[in-house]
Amino acid sequence: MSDEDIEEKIGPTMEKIESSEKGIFEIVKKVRKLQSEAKILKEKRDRLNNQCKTIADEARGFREKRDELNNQITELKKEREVHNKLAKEKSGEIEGKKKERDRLNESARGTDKRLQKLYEKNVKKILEKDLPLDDEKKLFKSIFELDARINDAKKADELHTEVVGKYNDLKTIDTKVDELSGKIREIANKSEEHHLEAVKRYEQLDKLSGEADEHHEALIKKYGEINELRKNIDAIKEDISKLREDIAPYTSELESIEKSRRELDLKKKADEAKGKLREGKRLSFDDFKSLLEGDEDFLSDDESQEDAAKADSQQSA
Amino acid sequence: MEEQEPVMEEITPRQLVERLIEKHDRFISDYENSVEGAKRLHILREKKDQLEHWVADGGGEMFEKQFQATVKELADLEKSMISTELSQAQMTARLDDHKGAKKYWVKKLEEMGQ
Repeated sequence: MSDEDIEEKIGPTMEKIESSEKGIFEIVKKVRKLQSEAKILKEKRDRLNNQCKTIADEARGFREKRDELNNQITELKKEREVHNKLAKEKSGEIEGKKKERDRLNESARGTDKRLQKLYEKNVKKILEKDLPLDDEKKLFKSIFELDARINDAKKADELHTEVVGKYNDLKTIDTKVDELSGKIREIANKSEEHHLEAVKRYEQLDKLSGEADEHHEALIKKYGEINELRKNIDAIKEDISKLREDIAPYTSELESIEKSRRELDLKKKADEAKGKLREGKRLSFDDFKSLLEGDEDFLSDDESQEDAAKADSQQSA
Repeated sequence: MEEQEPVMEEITPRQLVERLIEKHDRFISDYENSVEGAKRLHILREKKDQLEHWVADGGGEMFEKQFQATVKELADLEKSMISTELSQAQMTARLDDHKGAKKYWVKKLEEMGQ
């Protein structure tokens, strides 16, 4: 079979192979484009993820500080509760003592000084005046009623002094409670500031992580597209491989023909160069090359050794 | 510093009764003396009036001396008596009242126990 016949035979297949290779080239271009887009998406995603990490660290810092402040508030509230309980107890004691004081004042019906004067006046009267027995009996009764009232008035005074003292204690406790409430408000404001900062960052984090997720999804989609295209390339390569296998006997023969033709051509060029050499003509580099490649005996027999030496000396000159 | 008035020491019912009994004893003694004095007072007043009349009539130095002695005795007696206004009967009635009162307070003291 001539090379024209072979080429005619394998021509359509070669065209198919060529067309498929062009197809692969186009697909590779698309893959490169997709890879470039994927790289940009990956960089954006990673950048966003890095930003997210920084913001998450900041948010954690604010949250931890807020929690620390909230713990301080809890402790201060506990302390305030203790003082409030104490204040309640004191208030209860004050109320109890006030009730008792009021009861005694009601019973005494006068200040101890006034009652004491009256008592002394009545004692003096009963012990010094010439009185009828009935008057003495009345005065006797009155003196010991006054005595009881004086005792009540004195107890009421003592209770009043205690009440005043307890009011002072209560005032001290209230001052402490106010001081603690002030501290709690101050820390609560700071805690709220930290909470708002943390919330602000979590909102940023949601937004940025959403964007990062979108980029990640787009990246996965791109990878999917790239994989699909690679599968296509593999399938086409497989087709090409099959086609090449189909035409392999023809191409082998064609290569053999081309090799023979090339050898003949080299032989011809070598013969021409040999002729030039015998005639003592100057050899070109191509001539020399033809002699080396196309004449197998050029370097093996004596004649050839001689020819080679001539050619070499000419070449050197 | 505010000056405090001295406060009378608190007295117990028993102490008061005891002191009331003492008071009645004192009044009983005074009224007893006064009842006796009242009889003498009447006599001395009459004597003084009589001597005053005699002195005014020029009775002499002896009446004058007696008059002065009577006036002094009368003044001393009046001074020693619990009342010069009350009659003997009234003072006797008062004496009885004090005795009755003392009896009451003694009984009261007994009721109080030791």
